[in-house]
Amino acid sequence: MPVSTLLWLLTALLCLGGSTRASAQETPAERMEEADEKVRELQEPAPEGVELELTTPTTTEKEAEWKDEEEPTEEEATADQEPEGEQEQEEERETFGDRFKRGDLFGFFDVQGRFFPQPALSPPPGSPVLNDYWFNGSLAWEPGFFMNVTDNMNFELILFGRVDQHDRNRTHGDIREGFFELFFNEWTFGFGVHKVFWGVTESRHLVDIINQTDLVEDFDTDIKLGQAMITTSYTHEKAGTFSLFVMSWARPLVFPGPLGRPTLPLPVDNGIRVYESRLKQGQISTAFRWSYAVAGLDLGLSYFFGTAREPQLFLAATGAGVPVFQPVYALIHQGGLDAQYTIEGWLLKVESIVRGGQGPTFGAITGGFEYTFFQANGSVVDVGVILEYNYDGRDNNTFILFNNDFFTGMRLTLNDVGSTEFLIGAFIDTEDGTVFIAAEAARRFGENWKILLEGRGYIPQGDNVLEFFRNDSQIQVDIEFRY
Amino acid sequence: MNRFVALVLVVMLAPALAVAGPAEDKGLEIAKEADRRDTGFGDTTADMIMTLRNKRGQESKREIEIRTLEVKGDGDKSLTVFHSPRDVRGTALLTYSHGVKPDDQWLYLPALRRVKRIASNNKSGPFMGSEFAYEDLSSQEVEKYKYKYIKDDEVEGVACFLIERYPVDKDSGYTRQQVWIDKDEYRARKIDYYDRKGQLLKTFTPTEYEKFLGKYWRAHKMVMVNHQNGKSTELIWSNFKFKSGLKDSDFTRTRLTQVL
Repeated sequence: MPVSTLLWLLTALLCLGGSTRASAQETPAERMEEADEKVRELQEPAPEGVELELTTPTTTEKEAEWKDEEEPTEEEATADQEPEGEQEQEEERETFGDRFKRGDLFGFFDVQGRFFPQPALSPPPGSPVLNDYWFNGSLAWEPGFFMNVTDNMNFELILFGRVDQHDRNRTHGDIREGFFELFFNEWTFGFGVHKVFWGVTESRHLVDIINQTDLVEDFDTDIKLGQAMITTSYTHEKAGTFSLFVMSWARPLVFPGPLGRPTLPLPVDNGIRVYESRLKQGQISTAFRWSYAVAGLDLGLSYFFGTAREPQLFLAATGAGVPVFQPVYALIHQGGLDAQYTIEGWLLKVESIVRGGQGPTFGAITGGFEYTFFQANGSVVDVGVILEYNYDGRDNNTFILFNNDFFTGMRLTLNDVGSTEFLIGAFIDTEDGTVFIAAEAARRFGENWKILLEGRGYIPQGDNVLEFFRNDSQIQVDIEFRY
Repeated sequence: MNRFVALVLVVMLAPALAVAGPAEDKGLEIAKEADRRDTGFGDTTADMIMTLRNKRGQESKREIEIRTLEVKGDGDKSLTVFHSPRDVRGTALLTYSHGVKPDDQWLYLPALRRVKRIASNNKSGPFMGSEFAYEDLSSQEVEKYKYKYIKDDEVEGVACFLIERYPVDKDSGYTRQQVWIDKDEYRARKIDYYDRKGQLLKTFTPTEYEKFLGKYWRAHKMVMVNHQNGKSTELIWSNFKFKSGLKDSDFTRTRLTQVL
């Protein structure tokens, strides 16, 4: 595993080097395009009167700064022959704007530490304690490349890799995006590996089903794996947006391994996973969505048919007789509704699904509100309060933490230079009183650095499934370099 | 009888006249003329570098791209795309402004690929930690204010009308704004913003105006100085383009995820 990761990192590094060179040199086609633009501009009426201020020293300094960043191209050299001084300045600005339009290399490096103040729970009798450590370190890199291939086509590539100190399952790589997108007026077409988000609520994303969750990255289910797809959408001015997704190669949900923290009491063995479809991972899944916005209302209706993203877990044994969970991926159909009504500082939200195919058909709903006090108390700080209720009717071996619970949270946005944000929230199970608390803080330092702090506390009651995480409360620190 | 009717009319109309006196009429006329001179641009795109400076002179930069579509009979549609700082790269804001009615605003968060409708009553909040409030950067429609002509004045030797305008929106962070508009081209030369307590809060100075398509004036440099906290924000605009054929379909929630 470490060897393949190293290989992956090396490959990514090579790609990065390659694309840097690519973006530094313009292709002949790009030059043609630029030249075309110049011609078009020249045909436009010339500015009649340009203010004297344009030639003040401050302007010249600014222009000079930009010049440093970008070597003048041939076109600029020709542009220099134009008599008007202000026209020349126009060209300089063009170049700066073109830099935006050309390929963009971006991404982040992440150094992460997780601290566990309590000793790990004893495993089932007879097996050794594997995850009793107080610190887990890991490194991640997410390199990305974006470009406008033509005026009507974008390409985006985002890779991801993490190396984890303890958990082999968390040492993983992924193609987050490898996607071509074309747009012609009301139509868009896309193909490749892509991420799509549906929904409105904060505590749970019920309706969102296109992508598999990257569960080893984070238990909060916000991070997703790329999904191979062909997609198209049509937006009608009055009737809203209609989207169709045809997907294949469903990704299995990877759980933390025996050395992960927190982890399930038994390992989930993806090697013996079962698909209901005879085509297994090759099953084609399809999804349709209609989304609509009018006045303060945003509405979405969706339908999905294909391989479930959330597996059912059944007790099984490996050849050596070791008990494990066997994941089963059923063929499901799911209808989803998401709606938000926005009025002044209020966001009223609801998401609901009905799913068939994994045992008895069931429904689930998440609903509530978020209210923001902007510039609370005469300061520049925004204070948001969130209250949501979650109900889930399933009883079918999928791993659901909360099925009848409240989420209450508070968001503080300082609106400062570093975009400092705090979010604290708690899930409270209405049936047994189990509480899960999470607190996050994030701040940017300078232009490229970001520090994230996160604390999670598990306070299980009775026989709640969180009992397994009783001693896994953690503090997480991420230092990110974003470029 | 006729005299009685006339008297009743005078009594009834007196308060209205007090509101819309000659100074108010002239103020409104100036605002309308400025607006008239800027209509018909169709669509524009521009790049902007926003530099935040604190009292100690420390700087922080943001690179932003703005696309605007003129909408007849309603406020403009605009798309604001962030290129830096890099942690917000690709973040984009779609706004359908509606004059005095609440705007519709959606925020796109690229890390989650999530489009979020956001509350639109956050008028007076700082934009990206800068000294510009959302309302300072939003589409300036005539009906968003009541007006009053104060006097003829000068800004750096340029003859100006000085008018006061009073925000109609109760969520505005200002009680009044003093706007200096030059007599030649009806361009804003300076704006003083007064906070909810009536104290001078900020001064806005646009300079380096350039005329596009022989008609539309755009400032290449704008400075907002906050007199109360000593901070300032400078905007350097570049790469203005007009009438590049943007359409309604370029300002949809679908396109919000494809804006880079």
